[in-house]
Amino acid sequence: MSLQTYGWLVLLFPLGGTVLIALTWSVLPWKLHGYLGTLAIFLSFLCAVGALFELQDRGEEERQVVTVAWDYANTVGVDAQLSLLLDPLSVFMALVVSGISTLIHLYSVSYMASDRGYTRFFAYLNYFVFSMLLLVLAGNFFFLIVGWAFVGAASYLLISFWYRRTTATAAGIKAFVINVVGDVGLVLGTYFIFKRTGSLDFLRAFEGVQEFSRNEGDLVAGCLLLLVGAFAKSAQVPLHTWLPDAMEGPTPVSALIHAATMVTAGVYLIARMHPFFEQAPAAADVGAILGCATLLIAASIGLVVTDLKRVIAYSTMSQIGYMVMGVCSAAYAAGLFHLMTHAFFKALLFMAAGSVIAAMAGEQNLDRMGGFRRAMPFTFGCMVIGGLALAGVPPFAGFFSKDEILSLVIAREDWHVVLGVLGFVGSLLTAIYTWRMIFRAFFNEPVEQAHELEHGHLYHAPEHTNPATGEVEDTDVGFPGPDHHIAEREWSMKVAMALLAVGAVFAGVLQIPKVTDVLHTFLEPSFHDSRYYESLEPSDGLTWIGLAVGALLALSGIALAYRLWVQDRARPGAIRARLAAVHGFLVRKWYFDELIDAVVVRPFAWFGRFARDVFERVVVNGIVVGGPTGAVRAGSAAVRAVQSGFLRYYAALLLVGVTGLGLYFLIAAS
Amino acid sequence: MAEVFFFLAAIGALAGAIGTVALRNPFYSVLSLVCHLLSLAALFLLLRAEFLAAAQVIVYVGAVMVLYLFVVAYVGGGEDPIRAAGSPGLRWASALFAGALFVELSIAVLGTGLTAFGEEGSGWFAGYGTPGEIGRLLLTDFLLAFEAASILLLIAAVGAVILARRRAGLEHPREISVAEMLRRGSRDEMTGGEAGTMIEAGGPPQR
Amino acid sequence: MNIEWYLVVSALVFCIGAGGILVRRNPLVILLCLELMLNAGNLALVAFARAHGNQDGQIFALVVMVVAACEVAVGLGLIVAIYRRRLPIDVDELRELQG
Repeated sequence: MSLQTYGWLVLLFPLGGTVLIALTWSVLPWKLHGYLGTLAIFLSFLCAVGALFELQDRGEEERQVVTVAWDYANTVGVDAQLSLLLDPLSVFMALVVSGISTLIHLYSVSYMASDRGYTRFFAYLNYFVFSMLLLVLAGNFFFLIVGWAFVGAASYLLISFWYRRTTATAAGIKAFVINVVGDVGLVLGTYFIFKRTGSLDFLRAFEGVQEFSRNEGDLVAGCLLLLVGAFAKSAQVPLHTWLPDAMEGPTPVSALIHAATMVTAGVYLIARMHPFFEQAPAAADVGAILGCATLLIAASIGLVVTDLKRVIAYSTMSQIGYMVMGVCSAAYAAGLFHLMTHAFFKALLFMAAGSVIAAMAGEQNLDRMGGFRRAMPFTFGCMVIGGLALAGVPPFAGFFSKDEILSLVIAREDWHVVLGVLGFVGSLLTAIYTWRMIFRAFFNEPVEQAHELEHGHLYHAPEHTNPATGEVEDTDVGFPGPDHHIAEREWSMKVAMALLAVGAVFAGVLQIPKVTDVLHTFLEPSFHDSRYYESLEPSDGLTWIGLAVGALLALSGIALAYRLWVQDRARPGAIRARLAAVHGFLVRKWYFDELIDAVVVRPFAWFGRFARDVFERVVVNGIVVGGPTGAVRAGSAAVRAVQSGFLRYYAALLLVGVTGLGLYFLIAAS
Repeated sequence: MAEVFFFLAAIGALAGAIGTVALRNPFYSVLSLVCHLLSLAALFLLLRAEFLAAAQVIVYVGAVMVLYLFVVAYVGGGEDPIRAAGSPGLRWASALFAGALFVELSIAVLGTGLTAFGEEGSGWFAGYGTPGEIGRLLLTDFLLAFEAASILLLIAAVGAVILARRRAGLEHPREISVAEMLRRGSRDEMTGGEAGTMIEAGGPPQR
Repeated sequence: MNIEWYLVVSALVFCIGAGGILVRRNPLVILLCLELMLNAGNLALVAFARAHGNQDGQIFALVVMVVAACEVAVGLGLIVAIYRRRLPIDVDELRELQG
């Protein structure tokens, strides 16, 4: 089949999956829906692989193919078509998305098995994968925005999946609102670009980038607005506050959407729009600085949070900060490479965390966990692999990808060197908080749940509660199901986690510095118009120093974490007591929530109250509506007075009328 | 000589008219109107409308005004205070507009270009205005008007009887009063005059 | 006498009648004023007949007289009925159609 056919099939399989599951929700047995969903995404993955082969069969110059399904609108200079752009970048993203999604679907087949909303879950998941693929395969801004919005909707639906939990629905709304802010930024940014280039199609718009002069105001504004969109979707400072709350969703959702795929959409956007960002370096610099800031802020918060999933969420935020910093500093291949490896080990970490939480019967607090090493060996092994990859220990995947970003950033020279150095500091912090989590959950004395599991008995809590607030829940639809599934007992979870572990270990092979250059070469046709892609390269000395420093920092971070949370268990408490103010500041997440509440939420709420009490009541009801109605009422009251019933008034009117008529005729006749 | 009679009759007509309007007691108003009608009959004679003058006296004065007198005697009608329920302004406004109408009509009449008005009228033939001539016209040229007028008289007579009918004169009022049939019962203690229009009180008010 | 004089007298009587309708409250007197206006019309008709030299105006005046008689009969019947219902004989009070 041709490349175009593969491209459309990649989209159509998840769409068909979601429609089929939704329409047959009561007809087919529920277990079948899980397999259907997984199969749909797997077929999509196969088509992506097919597209990859077709693409590579073509010559180097022909690797950017646009396929149009339907001309939606072509008026007033706006050309909105249903078109896909199939080039190395989009095929790469499609492979990552569909591959990871298949494994997560497989994981969810067992993980969500006792949930009453099982079918709904798979329908939503398929819909999400469809939207994400639409986003990455889109060939023009119009389709991109459609995919962007769909992904936001899917995120909302899945975060509030357990919809009777108020914390979940609040988190879903928070995520959606911040995403909408990003949507507005994206659309406005598109407008700024479209205004000058005159086309919504990507390739044509890229050709039109020369219409802008370097760092021209319009272009910088447009790129900054695109950054707003990217940062909202990728949870970067200052639009990041929704991601930790989004952990209210089920663990597979966190793995898929908030680690591997949706939050990387921002990175993809910046990479795709690289012609504009290179022409407006001011905006790219802003993005790089904010990415660096995010990675440090998130890493610092990750050091103190006690909820297992939230540690991993802040880790995601931090790693995406690396990716953003990378693509904003024109290290495109490195950033995307880190995107791929991060997808592997972060999804793996989330899956393992899901297994641990299941063993704890829904409890997510690290303070209550401990010593699961012997009870859950497989989960432990996966967690260790993911942790080593995340910390950046050679030869795991995260080591190569993260160091490539940092060395390329430093290779940019000028002030980017500072960003690179801060990135190294961040990798030390990364190692510390990752292994803090692993040591606290798996080492030291086993807790009661671990003891029971060692004797082959899965712990059941006396009553089901909301892990965050402790409210009692039932297990009907809208709340989690009664049973919990751990990896050691479910084959599908094991298979999914094993495949991801393999990826986390070996994916680094793709881009070993000076040895292999697979990804860089593969992506080259997408970035042929970039002035940095070929030229930006670190010197040999810089590369070796970078690798050495990175490995050293990772290992020392792990050692430090071992010291603090296994050997000298009292030290963390003592440190916290001494730096109580700092600790408080970090636990409050740098007061970002309070800041946004004061700066954004309260003024809007005030404005809403003002609109309701003053504007609506006085202006609209009083003047605009009341004015004409009052006038009509007064007029009709005046007219009503004529109908008095007095005979003599009527007679008088007759007389006056006759007199008037007579006068008229007199005058007319004279 | 004719002028003298004209002015006498005209003054009589005007005096009668003013008296009808201005006199408080309705009885006196009726009598004033009688005087006016008689003067008008005189004017008709001056205009050679002999039959019409006679009809005016016999029918209008002799029948219609006598009917009026009967009704005024029955109904009474007290002093009519000139305090208008509207306002004194209404009085002055009506006087003003009536006067304006008169002025207009006078202008129309006096300023007309029709030549016949400036004289005594066109020539008249013997038998002009006599009953014979009127009768001949009624039965030939104006037969339709004549017949229609007679039907109108019949209808008016029937209507007047029904309107002013007394309940006591019927053997079984319930048969006729439809409105009452719709409202069963409690008719015996009816004070009368509180129900539908067809139920009259038994004669003049007794309580 | 010229025909004009008769017409002026007719106009004057007509306007007196019109004014009378407006100022009086007793419906009986209002009917009387109505009679005034009708008679003024009669006078005008007869004067015009004399002016034209034929008797059409007189026939018209005769029919008007018939109509006036009928109308008086019905109107007075109405007033009697109102009186029997114990309603005030005052056009300003008789304002509403109900009851």
